[in-house]
Amino acid sequence: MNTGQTLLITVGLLLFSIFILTVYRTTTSRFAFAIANEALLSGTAIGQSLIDEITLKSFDEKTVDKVVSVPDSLTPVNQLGPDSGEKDVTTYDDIDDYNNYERTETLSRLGNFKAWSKVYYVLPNSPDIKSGTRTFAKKIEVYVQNDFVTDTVKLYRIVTY
Amino acid sequence: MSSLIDIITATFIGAILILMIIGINFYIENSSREITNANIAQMNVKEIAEVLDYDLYKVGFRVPDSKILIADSTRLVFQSDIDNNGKIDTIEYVLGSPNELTSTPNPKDRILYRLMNNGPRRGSNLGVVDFKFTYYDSSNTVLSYSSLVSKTQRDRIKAIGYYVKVESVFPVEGYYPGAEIKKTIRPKNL
Repeated sequence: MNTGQTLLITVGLLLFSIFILTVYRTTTSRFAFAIANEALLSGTAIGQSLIDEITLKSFDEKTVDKVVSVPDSLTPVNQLGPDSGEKDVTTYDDIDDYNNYERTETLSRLGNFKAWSKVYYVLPNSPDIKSGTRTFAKKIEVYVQNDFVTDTVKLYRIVTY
Repeated sequence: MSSLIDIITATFIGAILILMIIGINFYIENSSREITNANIAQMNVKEIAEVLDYDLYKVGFRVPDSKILIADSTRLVFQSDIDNNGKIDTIEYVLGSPNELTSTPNPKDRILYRLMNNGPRRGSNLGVVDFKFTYYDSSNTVLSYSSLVSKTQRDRIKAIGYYVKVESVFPVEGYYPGAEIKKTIRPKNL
């Protein structure tokens, strides 16, 4: 076997190795996409469940058992969160109790899904803008994260009184 | 002597190449089957979730009393005017037995049946291997299945959670690709 033939065989094996590596890389990324899709599906369902749960609560601690006619009677901006005596989700009775709330759901295939929420006042006529004062509109933001989701799932809903 | 060494070397390299080609061929075929089956499982789990969501959001719609008749881990019977025609319907979800699907390679797959007004059991094999309902009261506390035998306790149900796990009917290298979903529905009429 002369040098030319050896060189041809070496180049051939090298090209074939590159081909094999490309196949493995492509397949791995297809698997990753499939798992990410599944995680996205499950993550969205978990996020929707949390947002539904929050939405069904009263608009504000002050509206649980009475009617409020002016925004200044609502919970102050810097006090959004669980009220005194509300130590866990079973005692939460209004939307903003879920401000900075966090829970973990575990699924057998994809492991832990960390879901957390933020609740804040928004301008009723421009609900994308956070309000520095009390208004009759609150925005609920829910985030879900899992090791297999490439980005955080973000869901939101605006609730008005 | 030199040409004999050349022939042996070439045969050896050729054999390695053929083995590599066969190996990569098996790998491509198996991974393709696995990804296809995983995608099918994802589509199936999404379809099941859509049907469940549609029905569960309407639990108790236009029903004055006895909105939920049976609440168990794998069986739920509720009333609702599901088709909005002014007539109250009875909807039942029940998980079949694995013995009903002995002809499929997956030993765990079962049929999730949806019965309307006590009609015939309808359902296709979507590869459901695990399915469970969970019931919550107004404070989000899980209600035990044993307590839900009583109507008073069933009337406390404010939210219904479900968990569905689907696997492919056919294995890939002894493994069944699958998908799962977990969701809690809060029907407005409970």
